[in-house]
Amino acid sequence: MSGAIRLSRMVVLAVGAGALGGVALPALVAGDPRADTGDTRSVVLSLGALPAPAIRTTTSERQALDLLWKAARAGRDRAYSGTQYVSSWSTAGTSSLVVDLQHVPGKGVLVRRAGATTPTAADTTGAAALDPRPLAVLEKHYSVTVAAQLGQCAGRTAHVVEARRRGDSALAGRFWLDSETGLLLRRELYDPAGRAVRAAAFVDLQMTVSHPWAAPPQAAPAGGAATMSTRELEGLRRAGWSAPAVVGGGLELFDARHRSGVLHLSYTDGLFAVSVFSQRGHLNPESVKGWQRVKMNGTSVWTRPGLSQRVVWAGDGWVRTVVADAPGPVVSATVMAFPASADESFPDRVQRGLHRMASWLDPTQ
Amino acid sequence: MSARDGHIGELAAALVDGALDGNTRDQALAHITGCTDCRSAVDQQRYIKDRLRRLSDPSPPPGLTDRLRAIGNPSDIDVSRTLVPAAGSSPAAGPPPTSMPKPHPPVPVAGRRPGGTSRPSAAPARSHRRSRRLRRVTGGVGVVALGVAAALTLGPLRAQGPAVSPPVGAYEVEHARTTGGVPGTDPGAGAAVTVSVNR
Repeated sequence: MSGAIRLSRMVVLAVGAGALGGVALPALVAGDPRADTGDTRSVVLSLGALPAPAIRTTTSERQALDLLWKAARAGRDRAYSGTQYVSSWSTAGTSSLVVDLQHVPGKGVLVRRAGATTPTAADTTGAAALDPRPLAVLEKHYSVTVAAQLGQCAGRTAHVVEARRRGDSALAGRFWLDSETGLLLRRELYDPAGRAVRAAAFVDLQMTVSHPWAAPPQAAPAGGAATMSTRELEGLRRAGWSAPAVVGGGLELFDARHRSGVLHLSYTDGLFAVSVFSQRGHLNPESVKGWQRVKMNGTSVWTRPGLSQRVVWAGDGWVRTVVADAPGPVVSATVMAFPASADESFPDRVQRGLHRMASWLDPTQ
Repeated sequence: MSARDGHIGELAAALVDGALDGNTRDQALAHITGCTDCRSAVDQQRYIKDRLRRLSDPSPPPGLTDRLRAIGNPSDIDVSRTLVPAAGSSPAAGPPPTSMPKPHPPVPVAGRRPGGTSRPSAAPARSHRRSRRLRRVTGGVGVVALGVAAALTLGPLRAQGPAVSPPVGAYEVEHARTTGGVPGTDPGAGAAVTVSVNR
């Protein structure tokens, strides 16, 4: 009799635990930043990426992380408008852009090229400042500290936070955070050789939006699909879609969306970001007219310089597009993580196989 | 910002060298986005700097590092791969290698027998070299075999499915939306001014 009672108790406990898991896990895995109320740090972000190592943070590191999280909240909660430049450097050249932007809490960011009369792009998620999801990954890959001296940007005093690679302590990024509001004023990212690969900064900033712009039609929330759960992503993987948990020597999958036959995977290590778009079919050669055809670790790809690096290639019945804000080697390693180009010769495939093996041994390749 | 007429002028070199303070650099970078002349000036400065950097960074001849390392380890010197060929080995051999230091004879170590580990005889050395070559060849063949295996597992070579024209512009906007703050608030993708500067 007592055995039956014990058994029934165990069943009740198991069902209860399952119900709790069913409610809690999808929210944890999805890691929706819009649900963030200041405690996003506890959210599990990775869609099947490597488990987070135990990181012992120092007081200085905690102070720097607090400033970054404050910046993420300020970017979401504060109204602001101003002019910002963005520059990126790559082997193909330097790209620059100056934009005017407005952020109204709850409505998102509207952006237009400096001097234009209508907005050309919008971020309706309100994530155009520091996104909390990559920020949580940042702690895993970089140690952050606050510089001893305050900096200046757009005429405002700023705390300067430096991010260094865990391992070789090389400087990988610098953030200038407004000492008054916490807002991100300037950011610079560096490659392993210490060269700037990306910079963005306000040259003019007001903490008000005096004349809000009308949102353009393409700013509708329907512009993007919802983030998938790990279960949905697993379903796609079983159906033959390639979705590596880690690419580019350490960038983790933190967001996956599927809409109209296109799978959009987003990867980050906290500083650099790569998106991979996959769709079934073979590449229409007309669509890459004017693009440069190059080899990346033995794979034939088409590239085009720009603010973000753009790479297109096809193989194995799939067409893939990479849009990356990352150094060239990271982009090459990302391409390697997916199946080969369809028109590769056998020697090229052998060479690619060797490159891939080398990347297993040395993630920086 | 600048010396004359609101243009970058002589600040172009300092901008390329990273010698400007943050505010001045922000202004300069924003300025070159809209000013063709200044962009060209910065382009030229970067080109010159890039050329100079390449000039000051010559690449060593292949194998030099291995040979230099071998100098410090007499037992590892491969006679067939010395830096200067032996006198008389070829009509074009030139002067004898008088300037090349000869390998120092091994210093006897107290307590060690002559012919011990500090002074190997010729036969074991040859055997050691042979086994090392064998290991290298075996390793090389193994690596190539693994590369072939990896290449074969990367999928079939034929094209499949419908013709696809990826909407890259829309993807860029989607990328900026999804990665949010990662690109540093730059959702205006596709409208950038590109300067043709090689690094």
